[in-house]
Amino acid sequence: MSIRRVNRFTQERGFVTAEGIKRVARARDVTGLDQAPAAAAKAKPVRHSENAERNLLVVLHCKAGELSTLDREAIYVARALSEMGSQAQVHTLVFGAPNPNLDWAEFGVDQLHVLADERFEHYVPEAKVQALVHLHGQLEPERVVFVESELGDSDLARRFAIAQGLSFGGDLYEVTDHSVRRLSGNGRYQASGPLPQVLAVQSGTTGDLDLEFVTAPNTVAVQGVDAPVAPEESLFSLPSGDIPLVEADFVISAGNGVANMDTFHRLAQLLDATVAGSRVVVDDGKLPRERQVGATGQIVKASVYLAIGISGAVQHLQGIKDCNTVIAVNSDESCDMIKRADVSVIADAEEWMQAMISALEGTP
Amino acid sequence: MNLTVLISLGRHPKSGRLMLSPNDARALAVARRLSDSPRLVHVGEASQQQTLRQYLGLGFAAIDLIEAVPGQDICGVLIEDLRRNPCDLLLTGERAQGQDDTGLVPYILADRLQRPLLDRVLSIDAQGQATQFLPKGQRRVMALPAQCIATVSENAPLELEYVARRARQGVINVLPGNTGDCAQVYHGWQQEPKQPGRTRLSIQSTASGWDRFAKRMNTTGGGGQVLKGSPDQGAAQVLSLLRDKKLVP
Repeated sequence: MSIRRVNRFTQERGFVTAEGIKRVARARDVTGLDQAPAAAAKAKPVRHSENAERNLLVVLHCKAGELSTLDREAIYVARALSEMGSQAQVHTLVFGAPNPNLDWAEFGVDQLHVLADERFEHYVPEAKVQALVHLHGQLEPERVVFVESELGDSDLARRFAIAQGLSFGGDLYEVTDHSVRRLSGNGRYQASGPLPQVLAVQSGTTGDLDLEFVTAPNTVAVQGVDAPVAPEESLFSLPSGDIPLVEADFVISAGNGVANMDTFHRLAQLLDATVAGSRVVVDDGKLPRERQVGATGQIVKASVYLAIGISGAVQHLQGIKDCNTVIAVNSDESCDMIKRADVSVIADAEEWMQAMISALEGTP
Repeated sequence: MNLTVLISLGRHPKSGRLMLSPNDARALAVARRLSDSPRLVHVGEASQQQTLRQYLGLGFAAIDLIEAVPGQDICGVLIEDLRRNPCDLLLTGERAQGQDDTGLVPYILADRLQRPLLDRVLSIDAQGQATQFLPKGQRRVMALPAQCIATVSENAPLELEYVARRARQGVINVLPGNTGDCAQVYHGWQQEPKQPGRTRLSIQSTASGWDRFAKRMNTTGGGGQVLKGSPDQGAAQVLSLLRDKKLVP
């Protein structure tokens, strides 16, 4: 008996991408048009949840209308918990007005409750708990998901859980369909337990944040909640030079491409940004050691990181992995920093800084 | 001012030995600026007195140690003690560093004692103005409510110095706790040595292998917007981006 090898596909299967790389597509008819990668970019199916039996609630704070990655992770956690068991609706309560271009359908939110009163931006935790208790009573959600953040989320989660007498799990770094895990004993032990009713998650509980479907969200203004009386308080920001690098929101960073540090400091002063530098600049003594960004320096969590004349060593890129928007200015178009940056300017650092200074001084 | 500071025992992050909790030492530094002799209260085992003396070394004369067995509800013990010895201001660290570390104790006390709670305080001045920590270099100053509980931020400075002579000279008053009808708290948490790694939550994919493959093919490889042109044009574009983000007026 002889075994005859059968070719199930033609040897010419696959296709050539725009970059000129040949890709092999298995288990598909390779002659048809459907093998083109663009065919998969079809619209995602819409998930409707009108006849859902359960509710889940996510509570977030919108800072300047934006959501952080951690906020999106919390929504994903609720979405994933809603996918387990019978059909469920994901509600999201947002303190502060969210940006209108936020794609809540893409995040998987079914109902968006917005509490955009300015007075909630003051320190009014009791009023927030009251509003949350009101919504909790209406929806009776199975679980409430918070993020662990110093913007008031951690505080609100604990106040709410204690006020309502619900089981609470905070600082969660792992959430599964039946259990949660957190650290205790100053990080030496792990405490695991069943899913609590109130969860406060740290970053890293989820993997990929993309969903394979979209929802049809509708926005509801929260009713029946009295706006609190704003307390007498004053909010101030430390001078940008005094802000520790790990805390800074807007960082301007100098690399080896910056020849004139006076121009750099002048620009930092005009932009009111916190000054930082790469290892080379710090080694040269142009900036103090605590201003070094990177694996051996500080890990920056800025919303905007302006990298001037930094080529982007791996150690430096590790230090800016948590930054939201990276703007790079470099004369070398092929450097690693420009690959990482969201916006890059190909220009000489000194000329660009002078142009920035004259533009800023021109507009009083 | 009648001031009480709650102190707990922390655990060294490397060796695991019991030690003073830096968070509570921060609370003591805030208290020291308001009063020369605040009352220090600890709930725990009497056998840990030697470790507890580290707090005395920071410059305090006495500690009230209320005895409790491991696993006992310390909030119940504390509430009974605080009702007997009322105070104007109750200070404590943001969270324990070596126990359960949930940070719930001040919230439970505030709820049961019906007192306002102020979290993440950096400092309190003599006029009763508290500075609160906010991220990104922001600070908030507000008046401290009467009869309140305040937790001190992890970002507050560690100001007090340890002196061994003070640690030896100080007194620890061991007080009996209400061990009779103590509630054994069990939150369903199981504690074990830390294991590396974690399972990340993900929604089970319903897409076919072809779809996943096509999705990989569709993703464009890194890199954002690249602006070429004169430095002036580049500067104008970056400035408009910064204005959109409200970082530049």
